[in-house]
Amino acid sequence: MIRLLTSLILLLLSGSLLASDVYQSNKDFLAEVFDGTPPAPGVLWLREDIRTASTAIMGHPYPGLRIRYWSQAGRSAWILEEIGKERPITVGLVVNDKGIERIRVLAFRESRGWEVRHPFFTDQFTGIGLTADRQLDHDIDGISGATLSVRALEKLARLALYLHDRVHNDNDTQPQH
Amino acid sequence: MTRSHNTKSPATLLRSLYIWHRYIGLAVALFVIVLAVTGLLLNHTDEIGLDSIQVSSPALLDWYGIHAPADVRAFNTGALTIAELNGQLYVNNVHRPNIEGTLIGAVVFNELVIAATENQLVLLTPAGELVERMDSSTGIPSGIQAIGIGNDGFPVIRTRQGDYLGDAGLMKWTGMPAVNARWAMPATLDKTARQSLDNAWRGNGLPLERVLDLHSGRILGHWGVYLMDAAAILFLLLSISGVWLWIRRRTSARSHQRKIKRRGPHNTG
Repeated sequence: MIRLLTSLILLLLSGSLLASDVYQSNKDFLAEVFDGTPPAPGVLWLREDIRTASTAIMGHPYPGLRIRYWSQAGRSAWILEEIGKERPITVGLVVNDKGIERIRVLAFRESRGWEVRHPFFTDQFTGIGLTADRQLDHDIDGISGATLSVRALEKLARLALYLHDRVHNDNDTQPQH
Repeated sequence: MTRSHNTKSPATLLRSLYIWHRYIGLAVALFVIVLAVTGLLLNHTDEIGLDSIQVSSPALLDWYGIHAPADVRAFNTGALTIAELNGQLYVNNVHRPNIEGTLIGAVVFNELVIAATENQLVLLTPAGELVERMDSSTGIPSGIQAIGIGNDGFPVIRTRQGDYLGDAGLMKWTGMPAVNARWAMPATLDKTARQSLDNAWRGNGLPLERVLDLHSGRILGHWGVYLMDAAAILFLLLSISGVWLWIRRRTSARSHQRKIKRRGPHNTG
Protein backbone atom coordinates (compact mmCIF):
# COMPACT_ATOMS: atom_id res chain seq x y z
CA MET A 1 0.00 0.00 0.00
CA ILE A 2 2.82 2.38 0.97
CA ARG A 3 4.63 1.45 -2.22
CA LEU A 4 1.50 2.17 -4.24
CA LEU A 5 1.06 5.56 -2.56
CA THR A 6 4.73 6.42 -3.08
CA SER A 7 4.46 5.50 -6.77
CA LEU A 8 1.32 7.60 -7.09
CA ILE A 9 2.98 10.63 -5.47
CA LEU A 10 6.07 10.22 -7.67
CA LEU A 11 3.85 9.95 -10.74
CA LEU A 12 1.99 13.13 -9.80
CA LEU A 13 5.25 14.93 -9.06
CA SER A 14 6.75 13.83 -12.36
CA GLY A 15 3.63 15.09 -14.15
CA SER A 16 3.93 18.51 -12.55
CA LEU A 17 7.65 18.65 -13.30
CA LEU A 18 7.04 17.65 -16.88
CA ALA A 19 4.62 20.51 -17.18
CA SER A 20 7.46 23.02 -17.50
CA ASP A 21 10.50 21.12 -18.60
CA VAL A 22 13.36 21.31 -21.04
CA TYR A 23 13.64 17.88 -22.65
CA GLN A 24 16.62 18.64 -24.83
CA SER A 25 18.73 21.75 -25.27
CA ASN A 26 18.75 23.45 -28.67
CA LYS A 27 22.46 22.76 -28.93
CA ASP A 28 22.07 19.03 -28.21
CA PHE A 29 19.23 18.78 -30.72
CA LEU A 30 21.39 20.28 -33.46
CA ALA A 31 24.35 18.10 -32.52
CA GLU A 32 22.11 15.03 -32.78
CA VAL A 33 20.67 16.10 -36.13
CA PHE A 34 24.04 16.83 -37.71
CA ASP A 35 26.03 13.99 -36.13
CA GLY A 36 27.81 16.16 -33.64
CA THR A 37 28.95 18.93 -35.95
CA PRO A 38 26.15 21.32 -36.90
CA PRO A 39 26.91 23.72 -39.74
CA ALA A 40 27.13 27.45 -39.14
CA PRO A 41 23.65 28.93 -38.83
CA GLY A 42 22.05 30.80 -41.70
CA VAL A 43 19.79 33.77 -41.24
CA LEU A 44 16.45 34.12 -42.94
CA TRP A 45 15.09 37.66 -42.83
CA LEU A 46 11.32 37.70 -42.63
CA ARG A 47 10.77 40.14 -45.45
CA GLU A 48 7.29 41.20 -46.44
CA ASP A 49 6.26 38.19 -48.55
CA ILE A 50 7.66 35.67 -46.07
CA ARG A 51 6.08 37.54 -43.19
CA THR A 52 2.70 37.53 -44.93
CA ALA A 53 2.87 33.80 -45.59
CA SER A 54 4.14 32.95 -42.10
CA THR A 55 1.41 35.08 -40.56
CA ALA A 56 -1.19 33.19 -42.58
CA ILE A 57 0.27 29.89 -41.36
CA MET A 58 0.62 30.83 -37.71
CA GLY A 59 -2.47 32.99 -37.43
CA HIS A 60 -0.30 35.81 -36.09
CA PRO A 61 3.05 37.35 -37.03
CA TYR A 62 5.94 35.10 -36.08
CA PRO A 63 7.93 36.96 -33.39
CA GLY A 64 11.18 38.39 -34.70
CA LEU A 65 12.46 39.94 -37.87
CA ARG A 66 14.78 37.07 -38.69
CA ILE A 67 15.06 33.36 -38.01
CA ARG A 68 18.19 31.24 -37.75
CA TYR A 69 18.40 27.86 -39.39
CA TRP A 70 20.99 25.19 -40.00
CA SER A 71 21.25 23.70 -43.44
CA GLN A 72 23.43 20.95 -44.87
CA ALA A 73 23.07 18.55 -47.81
CA GLY A 74 19.49 19.50 -48.61
CA ARG A 75 18.33 19.19 -45.00
CA SER A 76 17.48 22.12 -42.81
CA ALA A 77 16.95 22.30 -39.06
CA TRP A 78 14.75 24.89 -37.40
CA ILE A 79 14.14 25.75 -33.79
CA LEU A 80 10.79 27.46 -33.63
CA GLU A 81 8.42 28.50 -30.91
CA GLU A 82 4.70 28.87 -30.60
CA ILE A 83 2.50 29.64 -27.62
CA GLY A 84 0.04 26.82 -27.03
CA LYS A 85 -2.20 28.55 -24.54
CA GLU A 86 -0.08 30.89 -22.44
CA ARG A 87 3.59 29.98 -22.70
CA PRO A 88 5.89 29.11 -25.59
CA ILE A 89 6.59 25.57 -26.72
CA THR A 90 10.07 25.21 -28.23
CA VAL A 91 10.18 22.71 -31.07
CA GLY A 92 13.08 21.43 -33.14
CA LEU A 93 12.23 20.45 -36.72
CA VAL A 94 14.27 18.91 -39.50
CA VAL A 95 13.04 19.14 -43.07
CA ASN A 96 14.40 17.41 -46.15
CA ASP A 97 13.25 17.18 -49.75
CA LYS A 98 10.61 14.57 -48.82
CA GLY A 99 9.04 16.62 -46.05
CA ILE A 100 9.37 16.58 -42.27
CA GLU A 101 12.22 14.32 -41.23
CA ARG A 102 12.01 14.86 -37.50
CA ILE A 103 10.03 16.95 -35.05
CA ARG A 104 10.85 17.12 -31.37
CA VAL A 105 9.48 19.16 -28.49
CA LEU A 106 12.58 20.63 -26.88
CA ALA A 107 10.92 22.63 -24.12
CA PHE A 108 7.35 22.66 -22.89
CA ARG A 109 6.24 25.34 -20.46
CA GLU A 110 2.46 25.02 -20.54
CA SER A 111 0.61 23.39 -17.67
CA ARG A 112 -1.35 21.07 -19.97
CA GLY A 113 -0.82 19.28 -23.25
CA TRP A 114 2.74 18.03 -22.72
CA GLU A 115 1.74 14.67 -24.22
CA VAL A 116 2.64 16.14 -27.62
CA ARG A 117 6.29 15.49 -26.82
CA HIS A 118 5.84 11.73 -27.04
CA PRO A 119 6.97 9.87 -30.19
CA PHE A 120 3.48 8.32 -30.62
CA PHE A 121 2.39 11.83 -31.54
CA THR A 122 5.47 13.37 -33.17
CA ASP A 123 6.12 10.29 -35.37
CA GLN A 124 2.93 11.13 -37.27
CA PHE A 125 4.73 14.10 -38.83
CA THR A 126 7.48 12.06 -40.45
CA GLY A 127 7.38 12.38 -44.24
CA ILE A 128 4.58 14.91 -44.21
CA GLY A 129 4.77 17.73 -46.75
CA LEU A 130 2.89 20.86 -47.62
CA THR A 131 -0.01 21.22 -50.03
CA ALA A 132 -0.28 24.13 -52.46
CA ASP A 133 -2.33 26.09 -49.95
CA ARG A 134 0.30 25.47 -47.25
CA GLN A 135 -1.61 22.86 -45.29
CA LEU A 136 -0.11 19.56 -44.12
CA ASP A 137 -0.70 16.93 -46.79
CA HIS A 138 -1.72 14.29 -44.20
CA ASP A 139 -4.03 14.46 -41.22
CA ILE A 140 -2.56 14.44 -37.74
CA ASP A 141 -4.50 12.61 -35.02
CA GLY A 142 -5.06 14.92 -32.06
CA ILE A 143 -4.76 14.23 -28.36
CA SER A 144 -7.70 14.84 -26.04
CA GLY A 145 -6.92 17.67 -23.65
CA ALA A 146 -3.94 18.84 -25.69
CA THR A 147 -5.76 20.54 -28.55
CA LEU A 148 -3.83 23.81 -28.35
CA SER A 149 -0.45 22.09 -28.15
CA VAL A 150 -1.35 19.84 -31.08
CA ARG A 151 -2.41 22.89 -33.07
CA ALA A 152 0.85 24.66 -32.15
CA LEU A 153 2.95 21.75 -33.43
CA GLU A 154 0.95 21.50 -36.63
CA LYS A 155 1.47 25.20 -37.30
CA LEU A 156 5.20 24.96 -36.60
CA ALA A 157 5.48 21.97 -38.94
CA ARG A 158 3.77 23.96 -41.70
CA LEU A 159 6.01 26.95 -41.01
CA ALA A 160 9.21 24.87 -41.09
CA LEU A 161 8.16 23.24 -44.39
CA TYR A 162 7.40 26.64 -45.88
CA LEU A 163 10.67 28.20 -44.64
CA HIS A 164 12.68 25.20 -45.89
CA ASP A 165 11.11 25.65 -49.29
CA ARG A 166 11.97 29.35 -49.27
CA VAL A 167 15.56 28.70 -48.31
CA HIS A 168 16.15 25.87 -50.76
CA ASN A 169 14.00 26.79 -53.72
CA ASP A 170 13.98 30.57 -53.68
CA ASN A 171 16.87 32.26 -55.41
CA ASP A 172 16.05 35.55 -53.70
CA THR A 173 16.57 34.04 -50.27
CA GLN A 174 20.25 33.39 -49.98
CA PRO A 175 21.57 31.99 -46.73
CA GLN A 176 23.74 34.40 -44.76
CA HIS A 177 26.37 32.76 -42.68
CA MET B 1 -64.52 25.59 19.05
CA THR B 2 -61.40 27.30 17.71
CA ARG B 3 -59.00 25.47 15.44
CA SER B 4 -55.47 24.78 16.69
CA HIS B 5 -52.59 26.75 15.04
CA ASN B 6 -51.00 23.45 13.97
CA THR B 7 -54.02 22.03 12.15
CA LYS B 8 -54.37 24.07 9.01
CA SER B 9 -56.91 23.19 6.36
CA PRO B 10 -55.59 21.91 2.99
CA ALA B 11 -56.68 25.20 1.39
CA THR B 12 -54.62 27.23 3.89
CA LEU B 13 -51.64 24.93 3.42
CA LEU B 14 -51.91 25.31 -0.33
CA ARG B 15 -52.09 29.08 0.02
CA SER B 16 -49.04 29.10 2.31
CA LEU B 17 -47.17 27.00 -0.18
CA TYR B 18 -48.11 29.39 -2.98
CA ILE B 19 -46.77 32.29 -0.95
CA TRP B 20 -43.55 30.44 -0.09
CA HIS B 21 -43.15 29.34 -3.71
CA ARG B 22 -43.48 32.95 -4.81
CA TYR B 23 -40.97 34.25 -2.25
CA ILE B 24 -38.44 31.52 -3.03
CA GLY B 25 -38.88 32.31 -6.71
CA LEU B 26 -38.17 35.96 -6.07
CA ALA B 27 -35.19 35.15 -3.84
CA VAL B 28 -33.47 32.93 -6.40
CA ALA B 29 -34.29 35.00 -9.50
CA LEU B 30 -30.93 36.81 -9.32
CA PHE B 31 -29.06 33.52 -8.89
CA VAL B 32 -30.85 32.04 -11.90
CA ILE B 33 -29.82 35.02 -14.02
CA VAL B 34 -26.20 34.84 -12.81
CA LEU B 35 -26.01 31.08 -13.33
CA ALA B 36 -27.64 31.22 -16.76
CA VAL B 37 -25.40 34.02 -18.05
CA THR B 38 -22.15 32.62 -16.60
CA GLY B 39 -23.13 29.10 -17.70
CA LEU B 40 -23.62 30.27 -21.27
CA LEU B 41 -20.27 32.07 -21.19
CA LEU B 42 -18.48 29.08 -19.67
CA ASN B 43 -19.81 26.85 -22.43
CA HIS B 44 -18.26 29.10 -25.06
CA THR B 45 -15.08 30.46 -23.44
CA ASP B 46 -12.88 29.31 -26.33
CA GLU B 47 -15.09 30.76 -29.05
CA ILE B 48 -15.46 34.09 -27.27
CA GLY B 49 -11.80 34.08 -26.25
CA LEU B 50 -12.49 34.71 -22.58
CA ASP B 51 -9.29 32.90 -21.64
CA SER B 52 -7.23 35.47 -23.51
CA ILE B 53 -9.01 38.59 -22.27
CA GLN B 54 -7.27 39.88 -19.18
CA VAL B 55 -9.10 41.65 -16.39
CA SER B 56 -7.68 45.11 -15.69
CA SER B 57 -9.97 46.21 -12.88
CA PRO B 58 -7.72 46.96 -9.86
CA ALA B 59 -10.56 46.07 -7.50
CA LEU B 60 -10.98 42.59 -9.03
CA LEU B 61 -7.22 42.03 -9.18
CA ASP B 62 -6.97 42.99 -5.50
CA TRP B 63 -9.91 40.72 -4.74
CA TYR B 64 -8.06 37.79 -6.30
CA GLY B 65 -4.88 38.74 -4.43
CA ILE B 66 -2.88 39.35 -7.59
CA HIS B 67 0.02 41.62 -6.67
CA ALA B 68 3.23 42.33 -8.54
CA PRO B 69 6.42 40.84 -7.04
CA ALA B 70 8.40 43.24 -4.89
CA ASP B 71 11.68 42.54 -6.67
CA VAL B 72 12.14 44.07 -10.08
CA ARG B 73 15.25 44.26 -12.22
CA ALA B 74 15.22 46.93 -14.90
CA PHE B 75 17.62 48.42 -17.43
CA ASN B 76 17.14 51.64 -19.30
CA THR B 77 18.61 51.98 -22.78
CA GLY B 78 17.14 55.36 -23.59
CA ALA B 79 14.37 54.33 -25.95
CA LEU B 80 13.50 51.17 -24.08
CA THR B 81 13.05 50.21 -20.48
CA ILE B 82 13.46 46.48 -20.13
CA ALA B 83 12.32 44.98 -16.87
CA GLU B 84 12.00 41.52 -15.40
CA LEU B 85 9.47 40.38 -12.84
CA ASN B 86 9.67 36.75 -11.75
CA GLY B 87 11.39 35.68 -14.96
CA GLN B 88 8.89 37.45 -17.20
CA LEU B 89 10.25 40.22 -19.41
CA TYR B 90 8.56 43.54 -20.10
CA VAL B 91 9.70 45.95 -22.77
CA ASN B 92 8.33 49.42 -22.09
CA ASN B 93 5.77 47.76 -19.82
CA VAL B 94 4.59 45.39 -22.55
CA HIS B 95 4.80 41.75 -21.58
CA ARG B 96 6.83 39.55 -23.95
CA PRO B 97 5.58 36.02 -23.38
CA ASN B 98 8.19 34.52 -25.69
CA ILE B 99 11.11 35.94 -23.71
CA GLU B 100 11.77 34.44 -20.30
CA GLY B 101 14.68 34.30 -17.91
CA THR B 102 16.64 36.32 -15.42
CA LEU B 103 17.47 39.69 -16.90
CA ILE B 104 21.19 40.42 -16.74
CA GLY B 105 21.47 43.70 -18.62
CA ALA B 106 20.74 45.65 -21.77
CA VAL B 107 22.93 47.76 -24.05
CA VAL B 108 22.57 49.66 -27.31
CA PHE B 109 24.67 48.49 -30.24
CA ASN B 110 24.36 49.55 -33.89
CA GLU B 111 21.03 51.23 -33.12
CA LEU B 112 19.69 47.94 -31.80
CA VAL B 113 19.07 47.01 -28.19
CA ILE B 114 20.65 43.81 -26.91
CA ALA B 115 19.07 42.48 -23.75
CA ALA B 116 20.81 39.61 -22.01
CA THR B 117 19.24 36.95 -19.86
CA GLU B 118 21.29 34.19 -18.26
CA ASN B 119 21.23 32.02 -21.37
CA GLN B 120 20.20 34.15 -24.29
CA LEU B 121 20.58 37.48 -26.00
CA VAL B 122 17.47 39.24 -27.19
CA LEU B 123 17.86 41.66 -30.06
CA LEU B 124 15.28 44.44 -30.25
CA THR B 125 14.73 47.41 -32.51
CA PRO B 126 14.58 50.86 -30.83
CA ALA B 127 10.79 50.55 -31.15
CA GLY B 128 10.89 47.39 -29.08
CA GLU B 129 10.21 44.96 -31.92
CA LEU B 130 11.92 41.62 -31.53
CA VAL B 131 14.60 40.97 -34.13
CA GLU B 132 15.90 37.68 -32.84
CA ARG B 133 16.69 35.62 -29.79
CA MET B 134 20.06 33.95 -29.70
CA ASP B 135 21.23 31.18 -27.40
CA SER B 136 23.82 28.45 -27.19
CA SER B 137 22.57 26.95 -30.45
CA THR B 138 23.71 30.10 -32.22
CA GLY B 139 27.02 30.28 -30.41
CA ILE B 140 26.04 32.41 -27.42
CA PRO B 141 27.84 31.14 -24.32
CA SER B 142 25.45 30.25 -21.51
CA GLY B 143 25.71 31.47 -17.93
CA ILE B 144 25.82 35.15 -18.86
CA GLN B 145 26.67 37.32 -15.87
CA ALA B 146 27.01 40.76 -17.45
CA ILE B 147 26.72 42.55 -20.76
CA GLY B 148 28.44 45.74 -21.82
CA ILE B 149 30.07 47.62 -24.63
CA GLY B 150 33.81 47.19 -24.94
CA ASN B 151 36.26 50.01 -25.47
CA ASP B 152 36.32 49.23 -29.20
CA GLY B 153 32.54 49.72 -29.38
CA PHE B 154 31.58 46.05 -29.75
CA PRO B 155 29.31 44.17 -27.34
CA VAL B 156 30.88 42.03 -24.65
CA ILE B 157 29.33 39.39 -22.47
CA ARG B 158 30.84 38.09 -19.28
CA THR B 159 30.12 34.45 -18.47
CA ARG B 160 31.34 31.90 -15.95
CA GLN B 161 33.80 30.71 -18.61
CA GLY B 162 35.16 34.19 -19.32
CA ASP B 163 34.47 37.20 -21.52
CA TYR B 164 33.27 37.01 -25.13
CA LEU B 165 33.44 39.76 -27.71
CA GLY B 166 30.74 39.92 -30.37
CA ASP B 167 31.28 40.89 -33.99
CA ALA B 168 29.39 43.59 -35.89
CA GLY B 169 26.63 41.20 -37.01
CA LEU B 170 26.44 39.51 -33.60
CA MET B 171 27.00 36.27 -35.46
CA LYS B 172 30.27 35.31 -33.85
CA TRP B 173 31.40 35.55 -30.22
CA THR B 174 35.08 35.20 -29.51
CA GLY B 175 36.47 34.26 -26.11
CA MET B 176 38.80 36.93 -24.73
CA PRO B 177 40.75 37.59 -21.57
CA ALA B 178 39.04 40.03 -19.20
CA VAL B 179 37.71 42.85 -21.35
CA ASN B 180 37.37 46.45 -20.24
CA ALA B 181 33.81 47.45 -20.91
CA ARG B 182 31.03 49.74 -19.84
CA TRP B 183 28.84 47.12 -18.20
CA ALA B 184 25.09 47.64 -18.15
CA MET B 185 23.91 48.82 -14.76
CA PRO B 186 20.41 48.26 -13.35
CA ALA B 187 18.12 51.28 -13.30
CA THR B 188 15.90 52.33 -10.43
CA LEU B 189 12.35 52.81 -11.56
CA ASP B 190 10.56 55.86 -10.25
CA LYS B 191 7.19 55.48 -8.57
CA THR B 192 5.17 56.11 -11.74
CA ALA B 193 7.24 53.70 -13.83
CA ARG B 194 7.02 51.05 -11.12
CA GLN B 195 3.28 51.52 -10.88
CA SER B 196 2.93 51.11 -14.67
CA LEU B 197 5.02 47.95 -14.56
CA ASP B 198 2.99 46.56 -11.66
CA ASN B 199 -0.20 47.26 -13.60
CA ALA B 200 1.23 45.45 -16.63
CA TRP B 201 2.13 42.46 -14.44
CA ARG B 202 -1.25 42.38 -12.76
CA GLY B 203 -2.97 42.82 -16.10
CA ASN B 204 -1.55 39.47 -17.19
CA GLY B 205 -2.63 37.61 -14.12
CA LEU B 206 -6.37 37.24 -14.38
CA PRO B 207 -8.09 36.02 -17.53
CA LEU B 208 -11.78 36.88 -17.72
CA GLU B 209 -12.51 33.16 -17.77
CA ARG B 210 -11.55 32.97 -14.10
CA VAL B 211 -14.06 35.61 -13.11
CA LEU B 212 -16.65 33.04 -14.14
CA ASP B 213 -15.96 31.71 -10.65
CA LEU B 214 -19.19 33.61 -10.19
CA HIS B 215 -20.86 30.45 -11.48
CA SER B 216 -19.62 28.32 -8.61
CA GLY B 217 -19.60 31.17 -6.10
CA ARG B 218 -15.85 30.73 -5.57
CA ILE B 219 -15.34 34.40 -6.34
CA LEU B 220 -16.59 34.98 -2.77
CA GLY B 221 -14.42 32.24 -1.29
CA HIS B 222 -15.87 29.40 0.80
CA TRP B 223 -18.90 31.44 1.76
CA GLY B 224 -19.67 32.01 -1.90
CA VAL B 225 -19.73 28.25 -2.47
CA TYR B 226 -22.11 27.82 0.48
CA LEU B 227 -24.26 30.62 -0.92
CA MET B 228 -24.53 28.85 -4.27
CA ASP B 229 -25.24 25.59 -2.40
CA ALA B 230 -28.11 27.37 -0.63
CA ALA B 231 -29.33 28.69 -3.99
CA ALA B 232 -29.19 25.18 -5.43
CA ILE B 233 -31.28 23.86 -2.50
CA LEU B 234 -33.79 26.66 -3.10
CA PHE B 235 -33.92 25.68 -6.80
CA LEU B 236 -34.79 22.13 -5.71
CA LEU B 237 -37.48 23.37 -3.34
CA LEU B 238 -38.84 25.63 -6.05
CA SER B 239 -39.01 22.80 -8.55
CA ILE B 240 -40.66 20.42 -6.08
CA SER B 241 -43.16 23.00 -4.82
CA GLY B 242 -43.90 24.10 -8.40
CA VAL B 243 -44.63 20.58 -9.58
CA TRP B 244 -46.65 19.81 -6.45
CA LEU B 245 -48.72 23.01 -6.80
CA TRP B 246 -49.34 22.27 -10.46
CA ILE B 247 -50.53 18.74 -9.66
CA ARG B 248 -52.79 19.99 -6.83
CA ARG B 249 -54.26 22.68 -8.99
CA ARG B 250 -54.86 20.25 -11.87
CA THR B 251 -56.48 17.70 -9.54
CA SER B 252 -58.62 20.40 -7.99
CA ALA B 253 -59.69 21.74 -11.38
CA ARG B 254 -60.62 18.24 -12.60
CA SER B 255 -62.57 17.52 -9.43
CA HIS B 256 -64.40 20.83 -9.87
CA GLN B 257 -65.21 19.92 -13.48
CA ARG B 258 -66.54 16.54 -12.39
CA LYS B 259 -68.77 18.20 -9.77
CA ILE B 260 -70.19 20.55 -12.38
CA LYS B 261 -70.83 17.64 -14.74
CA ARG B 262 -72.57 15.65 -11.97
CA ARG B 263 -74.86 18.59 -11.14
CA GLY B 264 -75.92 18.72 -14.77
CA PRO B 265 -76.65 21.68 -17.04
CA HIS B 266 -79.87 22.71 -15.12
CA ASN B 267 -78.05 23.23 -11.88
CA THR B 268 -75.41 25.49 -13.25
CA GLY B 269 -75.62 29.18 -12.48
